[in-house]
Amino acid sequence: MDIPTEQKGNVTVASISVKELDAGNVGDFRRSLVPVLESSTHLVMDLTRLEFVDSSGLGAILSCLRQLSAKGGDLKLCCMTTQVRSAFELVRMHRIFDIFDTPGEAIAAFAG
Amino acid sequence: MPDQEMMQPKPETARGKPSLDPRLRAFSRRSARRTFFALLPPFLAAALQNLLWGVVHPFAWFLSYPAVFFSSWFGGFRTGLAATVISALLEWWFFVPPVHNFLKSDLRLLVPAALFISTGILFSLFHERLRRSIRATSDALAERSRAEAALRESENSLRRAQAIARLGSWRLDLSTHRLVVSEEFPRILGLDPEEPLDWESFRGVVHPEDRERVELAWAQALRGTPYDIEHRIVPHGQVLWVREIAQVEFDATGRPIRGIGTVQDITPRRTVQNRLELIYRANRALSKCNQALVRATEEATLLQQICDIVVQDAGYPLCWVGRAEQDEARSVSVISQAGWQSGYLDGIQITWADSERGQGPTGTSIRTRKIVAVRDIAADPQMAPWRNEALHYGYASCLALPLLLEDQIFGALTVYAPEPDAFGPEEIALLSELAGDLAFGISALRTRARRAEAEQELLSFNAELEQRVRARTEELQQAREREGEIGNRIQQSLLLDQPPAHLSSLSISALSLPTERIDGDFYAFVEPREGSLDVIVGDVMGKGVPAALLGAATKTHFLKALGHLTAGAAGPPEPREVVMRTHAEIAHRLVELESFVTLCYARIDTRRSRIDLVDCGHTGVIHLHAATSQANLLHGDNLPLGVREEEVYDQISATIESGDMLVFFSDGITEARNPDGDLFGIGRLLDRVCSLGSAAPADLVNAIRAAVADFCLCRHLGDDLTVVAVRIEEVGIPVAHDEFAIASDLTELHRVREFVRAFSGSASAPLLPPEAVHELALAANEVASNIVKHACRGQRHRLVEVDAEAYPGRVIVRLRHSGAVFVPPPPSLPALDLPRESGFGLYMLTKSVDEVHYYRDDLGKSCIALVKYRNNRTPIGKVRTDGYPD
Repeated sequence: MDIPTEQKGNVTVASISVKELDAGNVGDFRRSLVPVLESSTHLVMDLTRLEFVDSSGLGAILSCLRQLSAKGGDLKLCCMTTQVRSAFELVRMHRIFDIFDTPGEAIAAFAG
Repeated sequence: MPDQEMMQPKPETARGKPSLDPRLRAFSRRSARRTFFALLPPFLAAALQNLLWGVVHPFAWFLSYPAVFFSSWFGGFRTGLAATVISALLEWWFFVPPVHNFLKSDLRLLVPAALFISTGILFSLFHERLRRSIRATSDALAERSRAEAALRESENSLRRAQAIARLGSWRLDLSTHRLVVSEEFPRILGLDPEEPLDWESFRGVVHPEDRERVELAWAQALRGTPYDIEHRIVPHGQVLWVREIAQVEFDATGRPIRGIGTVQDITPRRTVQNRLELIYRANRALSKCNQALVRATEEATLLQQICDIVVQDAGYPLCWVGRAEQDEARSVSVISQAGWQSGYLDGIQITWADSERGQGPTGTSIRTRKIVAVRDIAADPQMAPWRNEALHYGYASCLALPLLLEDQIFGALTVYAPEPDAFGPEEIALLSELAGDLAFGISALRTRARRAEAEQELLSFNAELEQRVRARTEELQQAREREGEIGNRIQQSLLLDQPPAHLSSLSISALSLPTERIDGDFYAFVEPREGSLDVIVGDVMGKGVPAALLGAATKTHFLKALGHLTAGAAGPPEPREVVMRTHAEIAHRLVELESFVTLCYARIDTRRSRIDLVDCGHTGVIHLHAATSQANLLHGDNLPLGVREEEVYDQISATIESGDMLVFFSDGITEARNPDGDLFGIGRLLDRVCSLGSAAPADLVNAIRAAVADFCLCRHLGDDLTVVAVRIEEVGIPVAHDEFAIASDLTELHRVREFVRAFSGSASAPLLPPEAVHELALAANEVASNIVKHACRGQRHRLVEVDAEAYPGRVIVRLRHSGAVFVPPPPSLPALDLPRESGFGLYMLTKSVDEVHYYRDDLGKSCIALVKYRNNRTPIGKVRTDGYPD
C-alpha cells in the first residue's frame, strides 16, 4: 500500500490513499505505516480518500496513536469523511483523537 | 330490852343478808331460843321468892344467886350479865325495903346489891370461860373423828386403786430387814399374804433370767441410783412382766436405812407393746416389699429382696422361697433365701407330693394352696422329718404361704420364728399379704417380660416391614425416575420442537420447563411454505409415559398427514384438512385408549396477513393487536380429538398485522391455582399479555411463567405449562430479494459491503437512507469478517452465503456459513485506553443495526441475520386490557 508522506517542519503528513480500510487490507496498511512511524513522531493522517473503515482499520489507527505516544509523539487526524467519522463516533474513538478538518489545522495544532 | 336482844340474834350474820343461808338462820333461831330460856331463871327466882316471902322471910338476895348462876351457865357471858341486871332490878324493886321504890334510904342496902352484881359478873365470866373450853374440846374431838374417817377412806381408796392398777407397795427397814407390804403386793407376786415376806421370798419369784439384772439394780439403788426396772416374774409358773420403782433413804452418814417402793404388773402393756412392735415390723417389711415390687426388674432379685426384708426388717431368723418343680418327684427347690447361714436348708429335701416328706408346711402349702402354720415345731408331728434339725437351729415355729400366679401354684414362702406360736392372726394376715404381693410382683414381672418380648418381636417385624417398604419404595422411585427420564427424553426429543429462528417474518419463543413428571403436552412448528408457519400446540389427557407416547404419536400423525396432503398438491393443505385427516387416523385409537387430545392447529401466513386456526377443544389463541393495543382470544368450539369420531372440524381465520403477538397456551396456565384455590384464569393471562405486549416473545414467555409462579406462591411450577409466543415481524411478501456468496477470504469483505450497498441503497429506489446503508454495510462487513476469521479459520475455499430481503418495514441481511453458531457475549465497548486494537467489531455490529439474530437455519447452516428498520418503527405500546372476555 502506498502511503505518500509529506514533511512539514517536524510534522509528517501521511495521506491514506485507500478508499476502504477493512480486515482485508489492514495488514498491508500496518506494514506500510511502519517506516512512517519509525521516522516521525508528529504525524498527521489525511483521511480525505478514505470512505470506509471497519473495526480492524480503527484498531490499526489506534495502534499508530499508541506507538507515537510511546515515544513522545502524537497522531492527529484530518479530512474525515462522514462515514469514517460515524465509524469513529460509533466506538467513541473521536474522543481520544484530535480530529481536524484540514491538514493545516492539524499541523498548526502541533505547533500550538 | 331482853326481848329485843332475843329477837336480834347474831346481828353480824343476820343483818343485811337475812335469807342468805338457811343453816345460818336455823343457828340464829337456836341461839335465840337458848337465850330466852337462859333468861327465865331470874324471873322464876323472883316469882318463887314472892311466893315464899309470906311463909318465910328469906334473905332478900337468896334465890337470885342460883338464878344468875344458871342463866350464865346456859346463856354464857352476855346472858349472865343480863340475868344479873334483871335479878338486881327485880330484887331492888320488889324485895329490898322500902319495896316498890327504887330510892332506898338506907345506903347499906347497896352492899348486898353490889355483892350480888359482882357475883353475877363472876358467874358470867366463869361460865363463859367454861363454855369456850367445852366447845374447844368438843370441836377438837369432832375434828379428830373426821380425820380418822378420811384416813380410813383414803386407805380404802389406795387399796382399791392398787388393786385396780395391779400395783403393790412395800417398805423395807434395812436395819431389821422387816418388809411391810400392801395387800396387793403378795397378790401380784403370787405369794401367800399370811406368810412373812422378805427379800429372799421376793427374789424367788423373779424370772431366773432377770434375777441378776434385778439384783444389780438393787445394789446400785443402795448406793443412791434411782431404782426403776422392768423385769419378769414367774408366779405359779406363769411369766408376768412387772415394773418396780423404789427410793432408798439414807441417814446422815449416808448409810441406807429404809427402802420404799412399788411393784406394778405391766404384763398387758408389755404384751400389747410386743405385739405392736411385731406388727410395726411386719408392716415396715410389707412397705419395703411394696417398694421392692415397684422397683423390681428381675424375678430372682425380687425374690431375694423379699426374703432379705422378711429377715432383716420383720426380724424372722429364716425365710425362703421354694419353687414347686413339675418333675416326677414333685420336688421343691430353694430358689432364694435369707437368714440361712448354717445350712438348715441344705438337707431338708422337701417335696410337694403327698408323701412323708411332703407333709411339712411348705409341701402342704403348695399342695393345698393354703397357708400352713406350725405352732410348735417341737410338738408338731408334721415336722417330724426336720424337727431335730430345726430345733438345732433354734426354729420353734414356722409359717408357709403359697405363692399363686394367676391360679397356678408357683411355690411357697416359708418363714421361721424362734419362739413357738409366733404367728398370730396379725402376723399371718400381714405375711399372707406380703406373699400375695410377691406373687403379684412375679406375675407382673413375667407379664412385663412377655410384653417386652412381644414388643421386641413386633419391632423387629416392623423393622423388616419397613425395610421391605423402603426397598420397594426405592424400586418404585427408581422406576419412576427411569420413567421420568424416558419421559423427559421423549418430551424433549419427540414432543417439543425447537421454535424456528430463521423466519424473518416471525419471532417465536416457547416455554419449555424441565419437568419432573412428563405429560402429554406437545408442540410442533412446520413451515408449509415460505412466509407461513404452522404451529401445533396439543395436550394429551393424562400424565406420564403413556400420555407422552400418545402425544408423540399424535404429533407424528399430524406431520404424516401434512406430508401426505402436501405431496402432489399445488399448495399446502388447509389446517382443517390436516386435522380431519389426522383425526380420521387416530380417533378410533384414542377412543379405544379412552383418551383424547386437545389441540390448536394454527397457520400463520405472513404473506397473506392471516391466521387460520382449528381449535380442537383447546384453549384458543390470544391475539394481541399492535395497532390497537387490544387483545382477544381466538377460539373455536370443536371437540377434542378422539372424543367423537364423526366430529367435523371447523377452521376460523383472523387478520394479522406486523407487530401483532399470538400466544398459544395450555390449560395448565389458566387453571393454575393459588393457595386460596383461585384460578389464574384467562383474564389474568390477557392482562399479562397486554401489559407485556411490546416485549420480545422470549421475555413474554418468561414473564407469563413468572406471573403464574407468583400467583401460585410456588417456586416450582407443576407440569402441563405450555406457552408459545409468536410475534408477527412482517406481513406481506418481500419487496426485494437478492443473494450471493463470497469465499471465506478477508479480501472478499468489500464485496459484501458492495452487495449490501447495492441492494439497499440503489440510486433508483433506495430501501434505506445513506447512513443506514452505511451502517448495514458496516455490520455485514463485521459479521463476514468474523466468519472468515473465526468460523472458517483461514480456510479460503469455504463459502459465506449472503442474502438480503426487503419488506415494507425493514431490510434483512443474512449471512450463512457451515461453521459453528457463534453466540457472542453481550457486546460492550472495549476500554480504549487499554493496549488493544481489536474487539470493536461486535460492538459496532450491534450498534449499527436494529436486530441481530444468531441461529441455525432449516438447512443446518449457522445464520446471522441483521435487521435494519426502514423507518422509525412504532413501538407496540401498552395495551388496554378492559373489555376482554375472561
